[in-house]
Amino acid sequence: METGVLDRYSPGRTRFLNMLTVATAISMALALGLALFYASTDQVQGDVQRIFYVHVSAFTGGATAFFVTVIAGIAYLRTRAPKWDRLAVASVEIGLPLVTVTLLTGMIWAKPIWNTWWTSDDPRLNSMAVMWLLYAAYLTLRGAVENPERRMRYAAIYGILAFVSVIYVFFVIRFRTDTLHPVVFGPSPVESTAKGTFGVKDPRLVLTISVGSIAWMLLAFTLMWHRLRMENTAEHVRVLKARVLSQ
Amino acid sequence: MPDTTNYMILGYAVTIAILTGIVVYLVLKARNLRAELQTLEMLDAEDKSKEAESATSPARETLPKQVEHPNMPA
Repeated sequence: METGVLDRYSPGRTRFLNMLTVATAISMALALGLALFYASTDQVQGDVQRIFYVHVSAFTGGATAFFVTVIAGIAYLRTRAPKWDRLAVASVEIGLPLVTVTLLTGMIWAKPIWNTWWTSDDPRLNSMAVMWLLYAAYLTLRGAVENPERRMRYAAIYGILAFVSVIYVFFVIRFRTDTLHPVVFGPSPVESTAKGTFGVKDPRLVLTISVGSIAWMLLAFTLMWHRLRMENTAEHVRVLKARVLSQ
Repeated sequence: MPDTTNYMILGYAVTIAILTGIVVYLVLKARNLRAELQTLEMLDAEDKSKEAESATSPARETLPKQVEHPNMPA
C-alpha cells in the first residue's frame, strides 16, 4: 500500500533527521547530567539554582523557534509559497511549549528564593507572560481566518511582529531597574559591575549552560523538523480528502 | 545552605512532563495522520479503478437493446 507523502522525502534527509534526533536525545541527556551532577551547588540558593540550566536553555530553544517563525514569515511574504506558512506553524507549536518550560520553572524557582510564585509588578515576568499569550493567540487566531491565503498572510505578519516581544523579554532586565530578575550575562542596570547573583566565571556553570543551550536549540530544530513533516502530511491529507469527496 | 531540593525536583519534573507531552502529541498526531492517509489513499485508488473500469467497458444502459423476435419464446 502507498504511504503517500511519507515516502516522498529523500532517504538522505530522513537519515539526517534520524541522526539529528539521536544527537538531540544524547545532548539533552548530557545537559541533564551536567546540570544535576556536574555543576556546582549554589551556596546561597541550594539545589533549586540548578533550575537555571533548564530555565535559560529552554528560553534559548523557544526563542530559536520563534526566530524561525520570523524567517518563515518573511519568506512567505516574499514567495507566497504555503510551505513557509507550514514552517511558521511548526515553529510556533514547538516554541510555545519550550517557553512554557521557562515560565513554569521560573515560577518554581521564584517560590523559595523570592517567596512568591509570581509578582505582577515585575516587568520581566509580565513581558514573559505577554509573550506567551501572543504566541498562544497566534495558534488560536489562525483558526479564525477561513480564507487560506489571507490566513497565511496575516499569520506571517503576526509572527514577525510577535518577535518584538521576545526581544523585549531579553532586554527588559537590562534597562529596567524595578525588577527582581537578575541579569546573568552582561552588566546589570542595578549594579553595573554585577553579573547576576552567581558568578559566570565559574567554568562548570559556563560549560553546563553552554551545553544546555546547544541541546535545547537542537531540540527545537529537531522537533520543528518532525512537526513540519507532519504538517506536510496533513496538507497532503487535506488535498486527498477534497479529491475523494468530490468524486 | 537552604534545602531547596524539592523545588529543584519539581522544576525538572515539570520540564520532563512538558517534553514528554510534546513527544506524545507528535507521535499520536503522526499515527492519526498516517491512518487517515492510508484510508484516503485506499478510497482514492478504489475510485480510480472504478473510473477506469467504467471507461473500458460500456455501461449497461448504453448497450443496444436486443430486438425481440415475434416468435421468440418468452
